[in-house]
Amino acid sequence: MESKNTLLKIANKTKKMGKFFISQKVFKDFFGKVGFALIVIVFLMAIFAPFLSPYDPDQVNVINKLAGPSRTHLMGTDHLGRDVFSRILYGSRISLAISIAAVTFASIIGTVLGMISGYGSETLDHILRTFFDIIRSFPSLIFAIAVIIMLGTSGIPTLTIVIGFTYFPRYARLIRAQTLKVKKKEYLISAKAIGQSDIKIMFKHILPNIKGPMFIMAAMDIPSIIAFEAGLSFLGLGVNPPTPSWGTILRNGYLNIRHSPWMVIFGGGMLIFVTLGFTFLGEALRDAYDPRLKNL
Amino acid sequence: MFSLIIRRFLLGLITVLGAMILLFILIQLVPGDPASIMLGPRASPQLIENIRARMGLDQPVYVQLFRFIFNIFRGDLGTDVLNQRSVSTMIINVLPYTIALATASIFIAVVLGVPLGVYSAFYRNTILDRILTFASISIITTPSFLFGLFFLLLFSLTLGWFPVMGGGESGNLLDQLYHLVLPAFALGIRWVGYVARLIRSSVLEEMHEDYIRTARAKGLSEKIVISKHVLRGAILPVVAILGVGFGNLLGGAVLIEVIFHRPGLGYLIYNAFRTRNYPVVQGALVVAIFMYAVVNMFTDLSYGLIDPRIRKGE
Repeated sequence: MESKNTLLKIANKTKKMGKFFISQKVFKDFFGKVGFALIVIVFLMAIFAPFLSPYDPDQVNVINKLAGPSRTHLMGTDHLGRDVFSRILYGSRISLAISIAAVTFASIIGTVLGMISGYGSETLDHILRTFFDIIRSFPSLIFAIAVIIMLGTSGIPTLTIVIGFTYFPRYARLIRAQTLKVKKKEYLISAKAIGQSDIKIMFKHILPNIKGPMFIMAAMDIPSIIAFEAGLSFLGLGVNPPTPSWGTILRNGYLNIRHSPWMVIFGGGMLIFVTLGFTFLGEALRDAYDPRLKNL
Repeated sequence: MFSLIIRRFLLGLITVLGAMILLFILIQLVPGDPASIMLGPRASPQLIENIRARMGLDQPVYVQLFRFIFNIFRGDLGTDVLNQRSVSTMIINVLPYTIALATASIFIAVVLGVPLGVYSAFYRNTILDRILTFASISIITTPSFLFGLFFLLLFSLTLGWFPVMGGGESGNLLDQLYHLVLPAFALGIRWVGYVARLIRSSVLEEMHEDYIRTARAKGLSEKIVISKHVLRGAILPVVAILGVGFGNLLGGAVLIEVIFHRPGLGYLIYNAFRTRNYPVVQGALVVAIFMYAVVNMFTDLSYGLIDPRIRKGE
């Protein structure tokens, strides 16, 4: 009993040390630091949007439409005279919410199906892999456009599910490969030998050993999902107006680009700012965790 | 090699078939009756019935599915119900524009990306290498439609160097190339970053291989070692990523084509869904999926050609 406790203690300690080690490495990396700072800023923007924004983002003022940046309107106004700065602040909420929700959705489905595919019987594996390949055979943005058009609705839940669905095969394939690697390990064979159920083995023994690469992939997918959502909104297939989102700001900017370039400049600048932040942090995280995952 | 080709071909066929079935299911999910949606609320029941019969919507679902797939393989993608044009002809008319755009982007990516990557690898950890790395990360993370918007704003509207919209006068090759420059750069510039990073890391990896040392030991000039030996091994991951990237390019092309009002598959889809012209959306999607599958197949097969190790491994 005594020795078991000490063993547990040591195990816990190494786990904590591992986490500490990773965080140390991430923050040692210059780009990791910059990325972290950028993301903190965006999260603060999203959380404190109501306090930071000088105007109501939906407040229309047609007399003062398409104004350039000034002291009263930091980033100018859009085609309805709404304050672009306030809309960008509120838009960060949409971007973060959809990207985090979609990545969670994709990784959960991908993990479950990937584990089943890697751990289950060969026939099941074949069927599931063909299914993943079929989803992947749709060019992802075109697939999302098709689904949204066909469903005839767009909004945060639809976008989350559609984007999550187009991204999940990546996770499924990664998790499947990881599962296959772990499958042959002694501790799994012994877990099987003592008669543990397959579900318990999958969630208790396989999952903890494969979740690392999954988290890194999720971190690296967030910027691409943010861009994806902005692209859909830019086409008019994203969140419904008047909800402010960066993609719709860009769309309005594009439609009025001859009269005022400011919406495109600020909306686009914001998008670059955020995607860059997430990418820097994601890469630093990956390098700290395992540099071999570079080709993820 | 032959069995590899057959197997890959079968896999491609299954994928395309599966994608068609999925597409068909999606179409079934369209809320409401496609005929009445298309004709609007004021259409008479008689007219709706006619259109339904013409679209085959009065048949049982499995007949519709069979017919859907059969027609696709015959090359018949249906007719644009609004003005009776054949969807296949519409697509054939715009497809060259999209293919030109995608090819030009990949060309730009390889022509600029490979030298930058090799350069970065040879001068690794110098300031120039760091600047290049930083630039390529920034370029990769920026969505391509933003490049489209910025290029449009800067080079077309502000400086007036390039045309604002369209695909160029048909038949006039120079004019078409002139119209291709901005969209192709906008779409391809991210891939310059990708290719550069990829080439950098794989060149670094290859340089430590034994056969490179052997080549050097033989007294080959550095130029030949790089171009004949290092690059040949290092190019493989690039081929892989370009295959995957083609799907991405097709998706990105929708946005770029919309921004530059350039005719193409993406612009066709965009316009068709705005007018709820479902047969056109369907047909264009089928072609996009098919193209994607074919390119992926060739990518997989080209591994075998470039790298004999893969062929032998089979």
